[in-house]
Amino acid sequence: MNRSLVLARKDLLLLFRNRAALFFAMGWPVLTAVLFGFAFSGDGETGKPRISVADLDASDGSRAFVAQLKAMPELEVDVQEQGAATELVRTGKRAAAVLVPKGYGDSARRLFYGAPAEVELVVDPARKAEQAMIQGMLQKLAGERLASAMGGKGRGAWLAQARRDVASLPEGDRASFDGFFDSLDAFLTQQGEATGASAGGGGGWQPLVVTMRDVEVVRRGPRNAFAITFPQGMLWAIVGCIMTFASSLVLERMQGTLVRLRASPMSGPAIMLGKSLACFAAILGACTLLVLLARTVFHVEVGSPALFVLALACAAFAFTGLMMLIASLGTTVQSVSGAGWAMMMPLMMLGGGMIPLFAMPSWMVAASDLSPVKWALVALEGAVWRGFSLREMLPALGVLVAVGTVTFAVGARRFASRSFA
Amino acid sequence: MIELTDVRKSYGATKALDGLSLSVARGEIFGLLGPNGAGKSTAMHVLVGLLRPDAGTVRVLGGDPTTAALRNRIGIAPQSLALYEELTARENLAFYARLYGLSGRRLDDAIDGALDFVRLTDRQHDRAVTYSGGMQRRLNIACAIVHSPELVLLDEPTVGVDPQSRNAIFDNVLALRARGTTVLYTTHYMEEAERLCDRVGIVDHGKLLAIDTAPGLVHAHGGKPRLFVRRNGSEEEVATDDPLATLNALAREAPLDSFHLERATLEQVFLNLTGRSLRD
Ligand SMILES: Nc1ncnc2c1ncn2[C@@H]1O[C@H](COP(=O)(O)OP(=O)(O)O)[C@@H](O)[C@H]1O
Ligand SMILES: [Mg+2]
Repeated sequence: MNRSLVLARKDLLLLFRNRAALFFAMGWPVLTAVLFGFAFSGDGETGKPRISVADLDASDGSRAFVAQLKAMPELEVDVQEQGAATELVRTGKRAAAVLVPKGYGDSARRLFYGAPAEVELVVDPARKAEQAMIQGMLQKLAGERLASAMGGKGRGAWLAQARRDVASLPEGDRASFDGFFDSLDAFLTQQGEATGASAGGGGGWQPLVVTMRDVEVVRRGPRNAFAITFPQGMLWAIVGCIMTFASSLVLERMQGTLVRLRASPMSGPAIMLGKSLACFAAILGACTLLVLLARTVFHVEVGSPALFVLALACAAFAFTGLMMLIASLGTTVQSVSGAGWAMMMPLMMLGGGMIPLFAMPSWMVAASDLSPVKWALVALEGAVWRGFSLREMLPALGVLVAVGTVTFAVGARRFASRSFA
Repeated sequence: MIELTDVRKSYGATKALDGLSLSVARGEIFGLLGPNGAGKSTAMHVLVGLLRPDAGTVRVLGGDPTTAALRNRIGIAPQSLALYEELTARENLAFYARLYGLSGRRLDDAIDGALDFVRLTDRQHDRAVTYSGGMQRRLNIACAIVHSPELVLLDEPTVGVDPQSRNAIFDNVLALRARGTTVLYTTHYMEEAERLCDRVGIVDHGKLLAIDTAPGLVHAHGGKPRLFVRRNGSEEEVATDDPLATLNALAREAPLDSFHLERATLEQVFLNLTGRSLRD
């Protein structure tokens, strides 16, 4: 074991001296994760919330509301039919939908009396932060509308209309409203327009009632595209590492250092163990750097760090076994790396290393079961954003451990019979 | 120290070792001399337990060389350089020394000693890939001796080496013997065997043809020394066991203008034993 560690340490040192190998273990994975992450993020998932608005009232008041909503710089707003707006939220394409119900125009005009103005906010319950922000935006909008109605010339018009509206009320009620209107007029005149802008809705009274409605969202992927592309990047890192160490095993045999190692007190199995340890450690190192980068720079939340470590360890184990198998596929570095890429590329394509698993057509998802890449991705994604429990992750972990055990056993046998006659 | 008895090893139809027997004593420099393909490297690999012979027995340092305990006491510099080119000399040496269980102070001292031994201390922090062929060979030897083994196997250590490094390597081999280390040295250069080795075994086609000191081999298989005398513008050649007596006899016949004596070399020995030249 000690000698295996000595060998592993030497191989990691050699990895750091080998620029091409480092690029495939770190540079390329980071590049793909970042570039595809940006490409998949598309229109500002991380920027302003996108919402749809459906106007069921089609009054002057509702049209004005929609226009003001669209003018808000903090939101990205498009107008949809009611059904379409809800569907967009349900499929995760919009953070929320604002439904402006029939009668909104009338309620909004009255401001303080009658049924309050009301809109319905259809939301994805998981998107708490955006929800709060959108609610705040709607209140701000209503506040601004109130301020403009009360400010300047608008106030006279509003008061005249309001007094007409209450004219038909019974005498006592009308008198109290008239008294209120008089004092409101006097108050606003006294305050000037300076206070108008902040008339948003303090004191428990709100100019707009927002009723919330949750929709069940069919989520096919995480909201942060980097949560998809970084696990993929990790798989590229893993493949880079196993190609490097498979080649280095064969290179040792070609250049004669393997003979020298065998003449030392080190046994053949200890040599293969050392190489495997180096490969395993390199995978852990590269993937740890990737996940740290994903967290710090690209705000990828790792749902369960403990399960992530477990998933990574099992993936590293599986692919270290594949490294042994690849090392046994040929006698020269060229033939081994050729055979290795020929084996790994289809597994990567099929297993979700290129097309994300959640975006695959169903026939491909079924076929992807054949690729260990898929199981590694399922386990890693399970820990990062799929919210897997240990129980849910066990099948993937089981497949990985089985793949690692079988490929290591077969690979080591084949390699040993070629190398330690 | 080394006992090989009737060792056989075939690769398909090729008999790499065809009943090789030899014994090497403690503290001597033993040379295996033979042309390319004679079976020298195969013999070495059998000696460190890398190859299992098809038949015959192998005992090294009184035991079986496939055991780790025994391999700890053997050092080998293989014919193909066993260096990691992207590592520095010091890193290469540290790696091999750790494989033999050295650590801490003993590790550093062993590395310093080995670097000094092959005079690479100045370049210890340069990567092996930047070394000349001769320096790489010397580093290869340093890696073989860094753990102070009792037996050192050097497989053609001077191939592709400049004259300066070659002399340095000769000095190394003699220094090893002075320390009490046993050295098995293979070569296809007869001058090296003649100059360095206490005893020489001549091998061809996996068989040991003769074994003795270099002068002993020449005496037994080189034929008689040849005396060349020149008088009256013509040269005569006389093969003789007693050159001085023959020279006196010739001088008494008639005055000589000049003379010189040629003794056989191991080259001649090999030619006489096999009918072929060493260098082909
Ligand atoms: N791994 C091998 N496979 C097949 N033939 C081999 C192998 N190693 C050596 N030989 C053959 O065995 C013979 C002895 O080789 P070797 O011991 O390397 O000779 P030397 O070291 O004296 O040049 C040669 O004919 C060589 O071709
Ligand atoms: Mg040889």
